[in-house]
Amino acid sequence: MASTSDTVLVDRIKSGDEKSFQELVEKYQARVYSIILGMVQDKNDADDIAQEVFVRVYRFLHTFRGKSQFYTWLYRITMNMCINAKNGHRREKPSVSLSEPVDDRGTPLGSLLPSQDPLQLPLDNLTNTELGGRLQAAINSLPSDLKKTFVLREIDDLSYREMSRVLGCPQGTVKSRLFRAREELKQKLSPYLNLLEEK
Amino acid sequence: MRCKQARKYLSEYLDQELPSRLCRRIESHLETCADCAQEYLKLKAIRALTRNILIENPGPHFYNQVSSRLRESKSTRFVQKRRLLGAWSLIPVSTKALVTAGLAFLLFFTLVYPHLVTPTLPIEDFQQEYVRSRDVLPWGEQPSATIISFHSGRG
Repeated sequence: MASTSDTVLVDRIKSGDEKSFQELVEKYQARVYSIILGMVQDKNDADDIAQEVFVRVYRFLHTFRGKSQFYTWLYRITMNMCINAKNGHRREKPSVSLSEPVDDRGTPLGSLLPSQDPLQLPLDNLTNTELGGRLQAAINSLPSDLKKTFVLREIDDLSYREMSRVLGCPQGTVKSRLFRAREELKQKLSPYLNLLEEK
Repeated sequence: MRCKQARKYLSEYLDQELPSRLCRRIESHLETCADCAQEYLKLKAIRALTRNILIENPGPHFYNQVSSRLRESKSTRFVQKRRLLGAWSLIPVSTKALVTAGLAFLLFFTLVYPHLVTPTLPIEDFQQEYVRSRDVLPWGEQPSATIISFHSGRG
């Protein structure tokens, strides 16, 4: 059964209460946006797709019967929209690194700065370093099934059972995909992770 | 617990998806095995980094953008319906009548008419076939009559 607050919000929205819809959007917008960002890697596209997700939620909320958790249904819509976007329903854009700031000519600042010693940098600051960019590229290079399983898990801490409902696959498959995704990422980031360990 | 087995479970251990007994075994292994502990720390680091770079809020006006998009899509669908109705109203009355009659005619003869007509038997064809079959029978009897008269010495 859906959580009480989600159930109440959904019922109110079905009755035409727009304030409840706003509350629902504000509750889930960060998670939905982050999942999409992890999948499509472009902030503008992620914004666009996230808006479209909530438009669909509003238009098709009458089909949600409450047999599963609301967020299971929401994340399924989110994943489907990401898949549609990836399958070329949207204009291809060159992927922009989310973690590397650039100068006026578009050159990543990280390439202009003297080589940063990762040992000197706290983890909190890693969005602006080469490691963040490498991780982004590594996640993007994962096969689609591994990537969406990994992103969903890391963004929302869903249990394997909940993830299996969202992704429409057995729990064993979820476990296996997460294991493989992490092994691949460990391998690709090994030199950087080794440096952090020495710290 | 051996390293190979422990490493197999590290991903689930990180996600707290293992039964408590297995968790304790993993924990005690990690306390004694530096290599496996390193592998676990790598997984934790990847998790922390991923959350750092991926978890973001959309802009402050996100709901307003969703709202205007909804209004646009509602008015787009309304406009499409109006256009369809508008296009229909531009068609001359005679053409509309012809199209409607044609559709009604088609529906009637494909769906209704077959159930109204009683099937008839082709009696004349049956009669002709019967007569033809009677003509064949005398030919079957003649060879027997010849054989009988031969044996009786008349042949």
